[in-house]
Amino acid sequence: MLQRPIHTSNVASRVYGADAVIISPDEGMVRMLNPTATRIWQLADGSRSVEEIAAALTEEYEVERDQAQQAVAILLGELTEKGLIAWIDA
Amino acid sequence: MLPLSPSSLLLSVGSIGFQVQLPDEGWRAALAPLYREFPLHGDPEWRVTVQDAPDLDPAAARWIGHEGSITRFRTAQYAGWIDLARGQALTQCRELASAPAALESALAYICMQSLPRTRQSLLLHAAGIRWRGLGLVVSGPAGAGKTTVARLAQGHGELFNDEMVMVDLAGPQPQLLSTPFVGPTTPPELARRSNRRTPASALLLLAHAPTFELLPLSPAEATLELLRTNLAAVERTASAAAWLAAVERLAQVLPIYRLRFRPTVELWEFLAGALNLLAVEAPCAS
Repeated sequence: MLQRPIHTSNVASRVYGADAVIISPDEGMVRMLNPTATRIWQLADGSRSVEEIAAALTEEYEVERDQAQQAVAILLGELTEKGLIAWIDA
Repeated sequence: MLPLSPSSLLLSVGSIGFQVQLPDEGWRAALAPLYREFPLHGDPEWRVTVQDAPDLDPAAARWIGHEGSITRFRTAQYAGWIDLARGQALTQCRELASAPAALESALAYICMQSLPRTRQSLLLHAAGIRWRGLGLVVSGPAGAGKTTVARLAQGHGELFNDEMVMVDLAGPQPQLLSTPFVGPTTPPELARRSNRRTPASALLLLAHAPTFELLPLSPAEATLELLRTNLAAVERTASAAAWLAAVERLAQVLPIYRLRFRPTVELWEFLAGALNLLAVEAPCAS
């Protein structure tokens, strides 16, 4: 079944311009994302699949669809491992 | 209004009302003068009990933990808990001499957690200085120079507090407010428990350097810098979200700079020129 990424409920984040700051109180960690990762973080709001996020990126950046999809999958995979992203059924 | 026992204090810090129950009238007589500039006129939201506990382990390591709405803490001098849901806290201290630190630690934690959620305000680890009519919030990690700048302010401006100040963001003009919180590393000559308020003009994040330099910081950079010294404010997810929202508002209404400085009184001459210049250039210097 197709799944959509969403921020987990145990993180707090804010996007300032092109930079996201993510606080994970359970880990005692603070992270700042670069502008591309910030855009992916913004799009991962539970309403889009990886493919749809990649499609949005190809419209906003000069990037091929496959390349965008790979970058989205890698970043969301890392954020999932860190407990910052969860997956819900589409 | 609740009936007040003769061993209670009523305090108002950051417009949060506290009823502080002390062990006896002797403790009240010792502590009341410290906080006389922070009286509460009205009902308290919080009830904080201070207990005499001479058997506390003097070798206890500093520790803090959270479970549900309750935060428990322990140091070599005091230990206790804070229940954010019930508006109650208890702090035990080994002797009267450590009571101000025990009480202020609990009150500061409550303010740090509650102000962003309930008052559109922030409690920051920072010195507060009124200088030439400007309210300067001076922050940075341990060793960055807060106390140095507080010392340099003597004879040039009014030191509100060397350790912790509040910034009230509820109105169109941010306000810098002093607190009665004296830190463990505050030199006695810089200890202040005065109740002051002035419009906030700039937030300066300090770094030692061989020369003076003032650089505007982006909101994200400023947030990361403030997090280095205010992690206690974001130990809970709900508090973290409210804190981030408050810092975003702070960055919208208050110019935030990195101040590289050397510890000489030339600092004030430099700031006089640099702040006037940058106040025109800074996009958020409304």
